[in-house]
Amino acid sequence: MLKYLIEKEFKQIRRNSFIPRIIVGMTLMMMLVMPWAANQEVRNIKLCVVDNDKSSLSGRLVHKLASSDYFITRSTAATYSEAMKEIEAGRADMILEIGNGFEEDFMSNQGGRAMISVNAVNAAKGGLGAVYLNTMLSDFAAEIAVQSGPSSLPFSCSAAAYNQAVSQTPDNGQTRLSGMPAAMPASITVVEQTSGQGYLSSPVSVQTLSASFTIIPHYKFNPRLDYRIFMVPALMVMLLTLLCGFLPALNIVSEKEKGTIEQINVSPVGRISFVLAKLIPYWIMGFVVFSIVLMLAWWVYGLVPAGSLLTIYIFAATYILVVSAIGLVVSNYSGTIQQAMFLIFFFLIIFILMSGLFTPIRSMPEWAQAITIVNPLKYFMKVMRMIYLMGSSFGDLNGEYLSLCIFALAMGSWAVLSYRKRS
Amino acid sequence: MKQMLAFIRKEAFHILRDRRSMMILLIMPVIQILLFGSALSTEVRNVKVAVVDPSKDEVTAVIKERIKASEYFEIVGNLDSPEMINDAFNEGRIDLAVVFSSGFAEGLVRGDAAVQLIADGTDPNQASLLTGYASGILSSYASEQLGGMLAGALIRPEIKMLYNPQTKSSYNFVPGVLGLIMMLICAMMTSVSIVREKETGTMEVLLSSPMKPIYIILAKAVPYIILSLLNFISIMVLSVTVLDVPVRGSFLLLLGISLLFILLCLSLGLLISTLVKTQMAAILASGMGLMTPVMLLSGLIFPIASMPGILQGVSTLVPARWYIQAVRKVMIQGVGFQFVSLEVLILSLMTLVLLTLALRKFNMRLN
Repeated sequence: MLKYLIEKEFKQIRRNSFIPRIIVGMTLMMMLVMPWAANQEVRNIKLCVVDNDKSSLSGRLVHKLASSDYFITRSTAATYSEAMKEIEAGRADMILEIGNGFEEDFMSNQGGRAMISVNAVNAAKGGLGAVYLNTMLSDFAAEIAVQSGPSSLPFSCSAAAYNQAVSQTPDNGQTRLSGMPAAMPASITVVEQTSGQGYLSSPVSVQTLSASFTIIPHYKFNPRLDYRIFMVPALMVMLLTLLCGFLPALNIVSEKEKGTIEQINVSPVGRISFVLAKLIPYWIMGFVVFSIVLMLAWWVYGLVPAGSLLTIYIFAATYILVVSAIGLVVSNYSGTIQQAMFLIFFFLIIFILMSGLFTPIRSMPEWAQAITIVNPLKYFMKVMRMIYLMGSSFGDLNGEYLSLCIFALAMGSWAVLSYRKRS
Repeated sequence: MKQMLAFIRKEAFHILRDRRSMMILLIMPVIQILLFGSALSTEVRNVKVAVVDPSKDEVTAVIKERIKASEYFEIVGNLDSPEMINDAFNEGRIDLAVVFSSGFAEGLVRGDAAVQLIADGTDPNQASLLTGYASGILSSYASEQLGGMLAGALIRPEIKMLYNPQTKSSYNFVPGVLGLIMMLICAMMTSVSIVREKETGTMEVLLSSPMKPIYIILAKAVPYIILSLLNFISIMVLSVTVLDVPVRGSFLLLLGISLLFILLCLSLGLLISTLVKTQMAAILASGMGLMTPVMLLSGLIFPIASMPGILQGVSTLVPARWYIQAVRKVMIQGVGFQFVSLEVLILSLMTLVLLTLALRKFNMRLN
């Protein structure tokens, strides 16, 4: 009997002209477009310079900034308030104001004054921008110092900025540096081992004067700090979640609206076989889509999992069951397609945004981290990234697998129990 | 007019009758804004650090204390050898490993001491931020040791975080989530409710009434406009009272822009409803076709400036991008109308185009 029921489901899916199109469209979009968009790297920061000094030194600084990859020095303004207008109009992201007597102070070792003002509405972008610019300044200072001979004093450009940043965020409890950590005073040599894209990669290799140590940053698993490697495995998870969670949610309820469910209800089909017949097609579909997606990741991005493919499939097989079962539960509880849609949207958006896909889970407050324990997406997301990038083995991921199995069992039985033949 | 009112009442009954959807529609935005306003954050926090310290001298002890005292890091353990780092990373137990060279204190004098910071590079931004924080701690220790030698600094930049001195992530997310919710409610609701009438056949009854088709559609939109406004107000109240996100600019301007965006979403919903035949298709088209672009291409999470040129071009076609941008400017930056005139212009043009297209495609008759 189950065989015929599954055949019926497949016929329904095939006959519906919209579902196959959605599947293909979503897959292509998720794998070919998203990885380019889903990039939190901070680049192309629009910088506006206010040069109050107009000396040859400040001119050199402006020139150096203009040739950097991170900044687009699009505008220069005569006064700070003019520069603020640029920020308000969205034509600039940050302002560098070079203080009066910059060259003089610099040459007489007083320390050239400058002010960096960042639009921090997006805190991460603002923080990283400030760090980049700060690094550029200390870089510049080092260059000049080296050129002007060994007699020049040691410099601690960023250390001063660092301390200032600490003292500048006085607000109670909330005091954070937020992306202004780049304190790399003269006494420390930063050696870049791998050519990263992070700000530490702009080598601030300042010569040492006295007792010192070297800081060597090393980025494991993703030495070039490529954002795409980070996002692609997670986007696969998102695709599976959308397809295998969304479509089943609309399935039973649309039979209810059409009235065809009555025919099932009067037939001798049992609860379990009914739910299984609904689950299995999505499970097969999810498997096929997932395999295609794995191939695409390999072809397009040259991305192969560092861990075992088998482990990935075992997890995927369990995960698809979990999301499809969630979809069916939602479908069982809804009277209309509209209700089902709102419920599933509500849950999926929360699941997706709280999964660590875009923002790290450890940055969440404690109570929010506690909520993520019941988010199946979080486990699979973590597992995919760990297998793809770190090459973790099944043994490392026992806990996650157990959690997913519990979810599959719980949601599966819930889907069976919540299906009632009587309305 | 009287007929119109009757139609609006009918629509309102449709919405009110379905208690469950009603509850979801009013409560969903509230929960979402609370959850995301406070939970979504890119701040560096709770970083689990392992230390490999073969020398175990007084200098490394001081540095370890410093790391422990910082609010970003917690030291979860001492590893005996660098080989163990791999396992710790693979099991997901640590985010950062600090490896001191052996004989650190003596090396400091000789000048060959080194600290290796091994970060989990899977999340690039987090990795560069947390190695940055760690080297900040190390270097501030070093500069203290050097003391007076660092008196003459060459460039002393003063750093100012405009608009968001506490660098809270919620300042960025609240306008974004606002755009997401508006899109969800207006565009999807209208498209589904119109297609629903087509599917159940009641559209025929409506069209045979003496009302003009355009008024039928207008009457459908009115309750959703009211609903969206209710949501807008509840979100505003919550962001100001609970999340401490300020409304710095003019509230009226914000309201005006939001009304414009609501209108735009309704037109989009109407257009979708004319293009598809079933509720299922309407949901999938508006759900997946609208939500994903909003989440990815509107600047809600990912900065548009970092995208490749083509995608930046595509993102200019996403209405939510302009809405979110305008809300950020007015709400967080507190600027006046002249600074958002471009966004308002674009949104108005989009509304005009979508509305004309939708009304043109809207069939007077059912085939």
